[in-house]
Amino acid sequence: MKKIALLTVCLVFVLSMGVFAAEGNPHVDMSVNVEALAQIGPYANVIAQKVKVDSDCWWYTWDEDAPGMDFGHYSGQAGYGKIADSNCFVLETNTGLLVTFTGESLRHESGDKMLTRYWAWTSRGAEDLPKPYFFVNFPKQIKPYKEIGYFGEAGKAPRKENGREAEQIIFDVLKGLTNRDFWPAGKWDEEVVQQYAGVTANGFYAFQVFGFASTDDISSQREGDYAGKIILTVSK
Amino acid sequence: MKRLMSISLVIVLVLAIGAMAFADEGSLKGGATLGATIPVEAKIGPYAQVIGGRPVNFGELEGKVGIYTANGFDHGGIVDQEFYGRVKGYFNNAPFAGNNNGWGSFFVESNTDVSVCVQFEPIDWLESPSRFAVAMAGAPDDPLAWFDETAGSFSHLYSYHALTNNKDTQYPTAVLYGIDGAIWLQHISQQQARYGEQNYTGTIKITVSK
Repeated sequence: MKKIALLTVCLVFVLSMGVFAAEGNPHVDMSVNVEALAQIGPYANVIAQKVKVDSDCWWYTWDEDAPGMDFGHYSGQAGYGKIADSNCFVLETNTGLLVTFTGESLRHESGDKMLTRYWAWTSRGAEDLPKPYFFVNFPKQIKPYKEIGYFGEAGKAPRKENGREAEQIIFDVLKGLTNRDFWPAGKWDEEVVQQYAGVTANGFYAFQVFGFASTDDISSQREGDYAGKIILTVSK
Repeated sequence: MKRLMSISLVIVLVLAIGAMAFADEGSLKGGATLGATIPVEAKIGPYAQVIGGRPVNFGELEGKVGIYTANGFDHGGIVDQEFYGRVKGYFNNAPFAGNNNGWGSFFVESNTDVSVCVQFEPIDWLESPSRFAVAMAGAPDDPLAWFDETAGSFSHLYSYHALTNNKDTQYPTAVLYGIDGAIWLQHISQQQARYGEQNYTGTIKITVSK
């Protein structure tokens, strides 16, 4: 009697749980739902990428080069300014992020600095480097799309009284068309950092960065090698 | 075997560290941040400019025998303390004959150490021997180079720009150098008198090189 009562109590208990159990004639479908749970933490991958054009007869192909922004050689002439680009950051993320751009001026080991500013843009997108299409097509990550802004260390803007003729012409034309001088101007009393809050969901994003650098007066920066940095940081 | 493994691990680690500068990947939990860096570089070559300033102007020499100087008197006219005192040894200690505040000048600006060569070219000059000295403006008692038709030279150091000895001039970022001159009239008839509109002329050539 006691054994039957005990078994009955157990059976009632099992039946009352209901959610995790089903009982009955197995010839009739029965099912239970077992919950599955998972979480994914915020995660991202960011790389610096430099693309270059390789030519093969009359076809052009896109390839990757070692990341770096190289302004090349300056004679030392005062106020000689150049622009450089063709560098981008490609971001893959599974979450919304804050993207921050900071930049270090070109600096000699002695501490002398060149006048340096950087300019960030969002790119059209990010993709594997495309194959040739007709003669040339551009990867989305080096197609500037929307301006984010200028950034860099405190100090004077790069000068441009002297420079490569092509650049002088391009900027004059842009100014004529848009009524805006895109060459950075003004003196910054403090470092300027740019932040972009447009990464709101998982996906691929790309950002392009341009650089402007010039000499100041002849004796403002000594002869030699100068090095700087462009840093992209992502955070929640 | 163990040493080879250690070396291999070190090599992999070094390569990995090098790669991480351009890329970063990881969790963003708990306020973590990720970053990637693009290195930026440029190279500046040696560059200099030299600009002529005031001429060396002796004015009108009286004509008597002795040493005439073109020098800004810095010691109240006590001649042995002025440029005369420094140059007379070249001219057998001949007596002082007169001075004109006509010291010359030039500017040098550079982004590196350079050599400055100075030489006098007597295009239409006196027969009387002449001698010149270059000194940094503000330090006339320390000639950097002596010259006449035989060139002299000195080093213009990049570090001189920190001395900023010419903020009030039209070339505030350049270094100002002064040129003092001396002529030794050995005898009265050594050359024909020229005065008024007529001048004896020469050129001081300043050459900058690396």
